[in-house]
Amino acid sequence: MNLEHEELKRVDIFRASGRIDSSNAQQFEDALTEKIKKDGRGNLVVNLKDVEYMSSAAIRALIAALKETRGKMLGAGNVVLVEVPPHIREVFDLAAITSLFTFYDTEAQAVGSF
Amino acid sequence: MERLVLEQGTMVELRAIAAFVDQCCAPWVVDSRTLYHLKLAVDEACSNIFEHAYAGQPGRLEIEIERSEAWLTLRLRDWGQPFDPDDLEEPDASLPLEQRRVGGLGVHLIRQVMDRVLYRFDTTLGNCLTLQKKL
Repeated sequence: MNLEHEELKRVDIFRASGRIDSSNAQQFEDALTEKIKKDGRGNLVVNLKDVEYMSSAAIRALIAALKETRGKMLGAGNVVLVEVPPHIREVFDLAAITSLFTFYDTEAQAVGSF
Repeated sequence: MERLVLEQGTMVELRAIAAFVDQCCAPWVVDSRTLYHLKLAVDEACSNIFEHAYAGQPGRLEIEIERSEAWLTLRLRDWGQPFDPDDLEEPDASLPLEQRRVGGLGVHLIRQVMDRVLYRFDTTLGNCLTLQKKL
């Protein structure tokens, strides 16, 4: 897994690529929650376009980040997902957690949602 | 029948396990969605074995993949703590975020993508999880 981070004025964009499984999901979670914990920045856009594989471990990391932003931001923060490939999107559906996240087609739309 | 044996398996091997499943199943499974499902089921099952059965310590894991006319069978065997997936509750999609349990998600995904899931414990043969997909 590789994770690129871009910090905008009000939003943090994370672009993940490769494979996110139980061997590296903790690093994924730590990277996503670091900004929230340290700086109180809880508006996260996570781009999954180049993720070739993810398991429930990645979903647990995203849920942990979502819980962290909601807790830190008193309900105002959010984690939104963008450019999610069909195979990855299906994992969210199968895990019955699609309703917890908002999915966007482009980063511009996702950033604009905050 | 194709076979992979890891004497000191840990989470680090998940990528190699996925490559093994890919290599064995790709000739039999033409659509990439089903191939993803098979890799997901094996990955989730192996993650549970490394995390729960072996509690993070290196442990022996055997994976066998075979094909009959109608079924693709993947058999995983470990010698760690017995763990019955039937003991886990299904996740409840109607619960709000705060009340969601995140454990058990892997087993739920395995049940979603495979047609048959069979678990058997034997003191000599170890824990055997059989995953089957109808072709």
